[in-house]
Amino acid sequence: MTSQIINAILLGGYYALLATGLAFMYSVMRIINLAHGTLIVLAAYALWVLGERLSIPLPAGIVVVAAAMFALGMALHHAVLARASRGGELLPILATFGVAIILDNLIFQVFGADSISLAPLVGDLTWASFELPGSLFVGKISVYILLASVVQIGLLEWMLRHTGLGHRIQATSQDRATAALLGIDTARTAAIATGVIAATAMGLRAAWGPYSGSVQLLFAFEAVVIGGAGSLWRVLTGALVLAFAQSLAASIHPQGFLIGGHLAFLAAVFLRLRGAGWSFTALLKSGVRA
Amino acid sequence: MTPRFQLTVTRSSATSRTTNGLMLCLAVLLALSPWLFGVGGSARAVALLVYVLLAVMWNALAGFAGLVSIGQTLFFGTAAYFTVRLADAGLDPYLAILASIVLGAVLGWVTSLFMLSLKEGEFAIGMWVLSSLAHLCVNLDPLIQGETGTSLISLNAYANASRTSFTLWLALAVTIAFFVLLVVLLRSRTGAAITAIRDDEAGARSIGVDVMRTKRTVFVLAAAGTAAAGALWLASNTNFQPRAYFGVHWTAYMLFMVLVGGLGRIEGAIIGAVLFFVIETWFGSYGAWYLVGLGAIAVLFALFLPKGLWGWIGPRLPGEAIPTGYIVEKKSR
Amino acid sequence: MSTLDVNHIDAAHGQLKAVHGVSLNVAPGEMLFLLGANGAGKTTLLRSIAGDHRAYSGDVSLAGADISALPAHLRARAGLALVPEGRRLFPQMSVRENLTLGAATARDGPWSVDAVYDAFPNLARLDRSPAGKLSGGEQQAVAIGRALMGNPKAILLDEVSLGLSPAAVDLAYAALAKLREMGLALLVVEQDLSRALRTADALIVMCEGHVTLRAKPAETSLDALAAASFGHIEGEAA
Repeated sequence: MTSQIINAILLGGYYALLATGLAFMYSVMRIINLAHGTLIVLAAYALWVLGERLSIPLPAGIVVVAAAMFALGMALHHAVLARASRGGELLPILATFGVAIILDNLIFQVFGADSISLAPLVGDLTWASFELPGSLFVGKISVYILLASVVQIGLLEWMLRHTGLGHRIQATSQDRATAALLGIDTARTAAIATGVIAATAMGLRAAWGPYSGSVQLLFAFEAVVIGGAGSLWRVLTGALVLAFAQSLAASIHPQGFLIGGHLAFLAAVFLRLRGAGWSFTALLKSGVRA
Repeated sequence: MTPRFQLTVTRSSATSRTTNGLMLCLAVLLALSPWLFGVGGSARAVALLVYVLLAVMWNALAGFAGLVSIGQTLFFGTAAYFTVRLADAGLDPYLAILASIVLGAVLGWVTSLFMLSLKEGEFAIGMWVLSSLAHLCVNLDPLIQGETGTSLISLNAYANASRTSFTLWLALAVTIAFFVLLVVLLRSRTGAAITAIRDDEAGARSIGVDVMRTKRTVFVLAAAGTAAAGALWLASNTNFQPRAYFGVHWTAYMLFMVLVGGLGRIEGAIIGAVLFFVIETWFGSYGAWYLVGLGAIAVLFALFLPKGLWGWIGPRLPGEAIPTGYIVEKKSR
Repeated sequence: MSTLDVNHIDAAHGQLKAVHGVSLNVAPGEMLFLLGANGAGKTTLLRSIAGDHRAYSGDVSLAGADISALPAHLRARAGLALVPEGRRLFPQMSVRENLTLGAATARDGPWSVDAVYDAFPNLARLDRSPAGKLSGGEQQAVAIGRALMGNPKAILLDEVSLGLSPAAVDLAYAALAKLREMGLALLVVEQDLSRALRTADALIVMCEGHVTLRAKPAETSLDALAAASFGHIEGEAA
């Protein structure tokens, strides 16, 4: 029981890492990047290529991939997002979904259908674990991932609140027109944000395949919706709730893991509706926060 | 004093009359395909009709109601599943298809109660979550046996040739019914509201358009139409493997058809569906590369020709091909 | 030479034409008032000049350089500032943070946060307060200060006195008078005709997108301004 709770917390850390980029980008650009999960998977493949094929040690690989993902994020922004977001609210959704389809299938063509893991690159760390009182063992990697997500959120929050770039990003996100009138290059600010996200969007997971991107996107999205808008710390809360719901459902039914997460998402949507004055007739009439 | 000119108000134009003629010819051609193209040709004709249905419905949702859904497979997949379930319970498979369309509409109505409160991107992925949830739940059904799937065995009661013809005619009838329903809806008061919302949602709300009711109407219609497409696809292919019905590739197809044809125009959706049908016939065997190409073309259209092919063709024709508005003409006496 | 030259601006909202071929120019150290009833097209004109709204014809020059083709943020960097209607501050950010955002134009000049506090002494003690908590007059001061932080050559001010107490309006205009002495070109949208008549170097009245009156304060009267606001074009028979 205790170990299940601890594992759920650690899993939540992983989801928070996935979701922070999505939430950050949404708060800056008001765009939900449907290629988010795919970009994460792409970064993971890049790490695998560097480590497995070119024998570059993982830490160096992370630096290289972060830089490459940053460049890719900037390129995607200029080629797709900047143009699409001029055409209204629907086009960015369609365009990023199209990008996800392209990349997913390209990855499949290049790497095939096999599942891949980064585990060989980190050697013993895969099995290494911390022993907690009561002879509980928790995997070191999971702990590091949780720490990484907390550090990432902390750094991003600090950057947003206390640096000039952070203030410009906030200004762009709150009132794009006024930010432009002050001489802030809103497109460039947003591009930097996108780049940072793509670079941070990397997950070390046990194994993944070419079409894992959509599942990652759904996890990230569910964590963001469950957590609610506002501070990035709420993303962490949402990620933990998601992980608990999945773990709970998995203990009830062997195939319940994903279902539990989806139900938690639905519950969050219902709770939000309730905040808008829950009643069945209100739902029929309008049912929306204006 | 008599006025020096008179105004005539009409929907019809040379373009619309030509289009009506073309569509009638196409419908007759499709209806006759069991004799013209044989069993294989009839199955392809059903595929074309399913694509048209999917494109027209997704376009109604995205283009008219401003609701981009990544998870319309929710209705496509569950309708196929309902058909399997109802047929397994002893209902005639063709009646099961019709019942699944109704169930699709009901599911759409229930879903609309909470999903329409989500904004753009949230709605888009939220629908995907629901589709994924439905997929997982369907997999739990012992009849389906997870991804192994099952088939619509009771169709074997009909001889192969007559089965294909029945399926085709049913598909044709259902597609025409949904098409007419959509055109009637667009020409009604709700249609005026839909156009107002498409052009300026805040403005529409300010002049008293019930935005939520209008969106719900379109959403339920699209749910029923997409459900019909799923049930018909099952009737044509007989095998039900959940992944083949809930798969995200269907969303990619819908997106491709509507973006290439022209978002917000029925004509565009139909052109997109026909184009997709042709491309699939030629390139469908290329697997993942085929999907890469579809995605790339859709993105290029979204970025450089967001109104699609019809956005280029339409304004060059006199009048509307499928008129939903009016033409006001001023004639001197 | 004028600091700001605006030639034949046409602007529309969709099908609805809001500004019909309006031209104006503002010299260094000049305060030009733009008057007119609600819906006359003043705000659209200002936004078109600043690049916040895309005019479909006409051009804008700043100190002789044509900036018509530039997007809003590059016009701001060229030295054109707009203090928008309703101030549009970032309510959760502090006064200092709001002011600092104005420096995004990266232009050299005399303005810094401290210089703004010298010009608006009541802001200094609000340094760390969230801008959303300030009174209307204080917010207007921050909005003007934020524009100054970009070291502009010309400032466009929309509805300066809207929603402010009379004392706050006096303070705001006292500050504007100092900016005029410093040689900035000021284009001010104002509803208060008598205030405009007392303060302006020159006046333009618009009605339904057209200019109906251009005058120096000495050559005109409140009645003439009011008549022009309602579309009466000077020189036409009543």
